[in-house]
This record gives sequence, C-alpha cells and structure tokens, in this order.
Amino acid sequence: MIRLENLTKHFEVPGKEPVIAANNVSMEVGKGEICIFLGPSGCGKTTALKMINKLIPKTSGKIYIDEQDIDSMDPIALRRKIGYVIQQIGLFPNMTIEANICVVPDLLKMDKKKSREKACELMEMVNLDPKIFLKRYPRELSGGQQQRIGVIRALAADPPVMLMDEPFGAIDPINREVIQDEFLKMNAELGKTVLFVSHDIDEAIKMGDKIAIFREGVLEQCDTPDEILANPANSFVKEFVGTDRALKRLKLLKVTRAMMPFRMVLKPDDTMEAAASKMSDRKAHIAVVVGPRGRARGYVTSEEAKGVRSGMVADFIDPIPGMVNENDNLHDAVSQMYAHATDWMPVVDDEGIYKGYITQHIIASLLGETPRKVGDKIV
Amino acid sequence: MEEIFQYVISNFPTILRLTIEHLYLVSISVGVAILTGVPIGILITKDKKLADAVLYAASVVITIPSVAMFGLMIPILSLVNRGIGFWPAAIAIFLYSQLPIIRNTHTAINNIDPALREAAKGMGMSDWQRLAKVEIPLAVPVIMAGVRMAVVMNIAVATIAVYIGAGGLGTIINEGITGTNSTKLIVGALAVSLLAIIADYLFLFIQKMLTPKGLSGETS
Repeated sequence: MIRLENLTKHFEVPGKEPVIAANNVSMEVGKGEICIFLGPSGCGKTTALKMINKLIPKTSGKIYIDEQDIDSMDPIALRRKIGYVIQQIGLFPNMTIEANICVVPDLLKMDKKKSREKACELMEMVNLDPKIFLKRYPRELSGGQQQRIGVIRALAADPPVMLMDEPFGAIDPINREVIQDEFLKMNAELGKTVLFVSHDIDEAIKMGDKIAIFREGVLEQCDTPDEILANPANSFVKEFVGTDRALKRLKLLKVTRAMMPFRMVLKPDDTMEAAASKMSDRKAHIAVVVGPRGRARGYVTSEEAKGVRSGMVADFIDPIPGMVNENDNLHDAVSQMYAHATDWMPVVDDEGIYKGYITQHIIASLLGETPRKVGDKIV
Repeated sequence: MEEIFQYVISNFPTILRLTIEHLYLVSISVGVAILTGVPIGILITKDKKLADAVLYAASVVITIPSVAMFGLMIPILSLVNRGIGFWPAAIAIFLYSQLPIIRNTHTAINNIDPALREAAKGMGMSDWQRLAKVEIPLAVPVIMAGVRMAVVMNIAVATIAVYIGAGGLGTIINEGITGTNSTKLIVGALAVSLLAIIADYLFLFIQKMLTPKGLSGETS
C-alpha cells in the first residue's frame, strides 16, 4: 500500500518563481491495486512518481509504503524494494538478459540459483523462451521483447511495489496492446501495488484500477476509471478524458450492466396463436425462441404472430441478429450491433444459454449523464 | 639495403636492449598515466567547469614540443637530483599521456545513455556499483582507444628521451645523426616505427578483447 500525504515539490528556478511540480498531493493506493498517474506533459505525474523512490527529493509532505515512512529509509535500500520500469527501458547492454534480470537480486545478495530460476519463470510469464533468450544481449532483442525484460527485471526481486514511468510509451501500438494484456494477467497473479505514469487515457482506462489525474502539480481527481469517465470532477478532467468519454466507458462496462433479463421465451413447438397471446399479455414486440436446452435459436415479432394466427412457431422463426456473451464489454456488444445493423441483441452465457437482451436504447440511457428509467419492452 | 641487414644482424643484442629500454620507459609511464588519467576522467564528469579546466590544462601540456618538455624536466628534477635519465623522461611521457586518456574516459562516461544511469540508480545501485557494473564496462572500448593513442604517440616521443640520457631507440638515431651514419639513422627510425605499428595492433586487439560482448558485433 502506498499513501501520499500533502506531497509537495518546488523546483527552484534561478531568478524566477519556483515551479510547483507537486502541490499538496494526497492519495492512497491499496495493496494490489494499479493506479495510473495521468495528465498532460509537465503536469507533475513523473515527478510525483520519482519522489516515491527518492530519485527526486520532495520539498515537503509524507510518503508511506506499507505504513513505513520513506524518510526513515535509506534511498538505496528503498529502491531495491521497489520495482522500477522506465520508458527508455534501460537494459544494460554489457550484460546478458539473465544478468539484467538478476541485477537487483544480485545487489541484494540473494541466492544465485534461485534468482536464475525465478528469471526463467518470469520470462515464461511474458512468453519469451528462456532457453533462447537468457544468454543473449539486449541489442539482439526487439523493442517489445526488451521492454518485457525491462518489466520482469523490475519484478525479479519480488518487490511489493512497482513504479512504472510510461513503460509502454515507446512500443508500437500492436505490441503495446499485447504487453498491456500480459502485464495485467501477470499482475492479477502477482498482486503488486503498481503506480504507472501514462499520458494515454485509453491505456489508463484499460490498465488502471484507479486513475489519478494531474494538472500543474495538482491532483484533480483520483477515482476508478468508470467514475472518472461518468463523473469528471471538473471541466479540466472532462476535457482531458475526451468528448468521447461516454464511448470510452463502453469498454469498462460489462454486458450484464445493460442486460435486461428476459420475461418470456417461446418454444419451436408453440403455436403461433399461443405465441401471439403470450406476447400481447406481456406487451412484447419480439420473443426469442429457445431450444430444449435454452439456447437461442431465433425470434418472432408480435406483428408476425398476430398476422398469421395459425401454424407453429418453428415455421415462422427469424434468425437472430448475432449474440453477445454476458462477460463481453459493451464496446464489443455495440460494435456487433452496428455490424449487424440491429438495435437489439440476445445475451448468452458461456454455454450459449439465453439469459436476456440488450438494446441500444438501454445502453444509451446507461451512459447518459442523467440516467433515465428504461421502458423498453422487447422480449 | 644490405648494410642495414648487416648492421641489424651484427648489432642485434644492442638493438634488442635499446628496444626493451624504450618499451620499459613507455609502458611504465603510460601505465601510471592510466592509473591517474582514468580516475581523473571519471571524476571530472561530475562537474562541467572542472572538466573544462582539466581538459584545457591537459591540452596545453600536449602542445609543448617534446624537446622543450624534456628540457623543462631537467631543471625541475635537478632539485631532487634526478635531472637526467629515466625519471625526467618518464614524467614527460606520463604528462603527454594524460590528455588522450582523460579525454577519452571523460567522453566515454559522459556519453553513456542517461536512461542506463537512471535505470541503475532507480534499481538501487550505489554510485560505485553503477560505475563498476555499468559505466566502466561500457566505457572501456573508448578508454582503451585513448590508451592506444597515448602508447603509439609516446613510442615516437620517447625517441627524444636520449637527449636527457634516458636511452632507448633514440640512441641509435642520435648516433646516426651525429656520426652522419645513414644506416644507423634508418635502422633506428625503422625500429621505432615498427614498434609503434606493433603496439597499435596489440592495443587494438586488447581493446577488442575488453569490449563487452553485448556491445561488439560478434555476439552469439
């Protein structure tokens, strides 16, 4: 856990007013949380980060790591307990990959054999084959591979806290996505407390349990990504997260947040007459037809049911316009709805069992600034 | 041509002795210059003004003509009764070696990617550890290039040492000049050149050996 209390940094500029890079910043990041320091360049996010491992001395305020005041800790001992990743990666070109990963364990005089085993383990977590890479030198690796090593080098001595200064900023977009996913997966397992500097709002939304937005040394808002997007604290935050913040929220929200559980289903062997009356009782415009195990097979509309009034449901079934999994995010769901040019879609679980439905209207209301009561009665 | 071979064959032991004397003078002087030049080169990376002053002083030293430098040593060292012989020559060569060694060390350490320095510091290396594990290994090829330059240059400079009684291959050249014996002159000059060329290649080889594997082209 990391706690900042009234953290302040003044940079003295000869002949001018001092620059205030951090102004009374107070915040707390819980154990195992990933907190993103976000803001435009020069906002003080990197300064705030570097005060934590004493690379930049603070002017005033307190920093606690696991309730221990860092003022009472030797800077070198402190840094060895904190994983540190920088944008420029900084692998030592004169050392093999193995030696690079084991820098901190060796500084701490940890057992060599164990730290080498740990290096292999970590390499496998980022999908690099230790047999191929351990004895190579940094310059023989691609940028993406180097930054993976940069990240696991910071993890090698198993520090409880990681500081990452725009770690994926210099990596091409495709590789960046992959490394981000790998890191999230890895940290879900390792449970490190991570402070992560970024200027990329999309990265922050994806990676962060919390986002701290800085402007000119002031912490403007520190909250969950969804809260920041839904309720920006002020006009700066609102502007910074972008006019498309409602769309960005889609990635954070699960389909289940917008799903309406179904109120009725039809079976293929129901008669159309029964279907029509059932639908008019429930004022439903559309009814999903499910098979014996509850899988969605298609749908019929109430107009159709009223129009024919004879025959079986199976004969009038329309194919469903695609399906979304309940665990998907709404971004994917909306994308599918647009792709199929439909304003509704059934939601299924991992087994393909029909659970409910989403409509564009419900999603729109969910994202709206003032949530409205949803009156859709489709199914 | 024949005379030269004859001279070399009949005077081989003398030539060998003078060559060893020559090498001894240069290697002791440059060796000590490495021990002082490298630390000074590292030290001055901490302070730009100090670096400018030290490099300026070393540049001034190297512009002093070698004859004048050796001449200057005589009155100074006479104060401790070492006015002629090995000592004034060794000190002159030591001074000449400072610039290439200090400058190359300073440049090499200064040009190390700041990201490496930040990574090393951020991971909890002390200043000494950073120097020993990262900065010096990376600077070695450039430092060695400076040493090589000092050695080659001073093999030539040490020829003058004969005039202050320090011997070496300059002895043959001097005899050639004073006795208008062109054979001696050519043999002496050839010996010095050959020595410089061999030293150049030897130090190039050492430089390559000391270059960290991760920096050279020949990685696995």
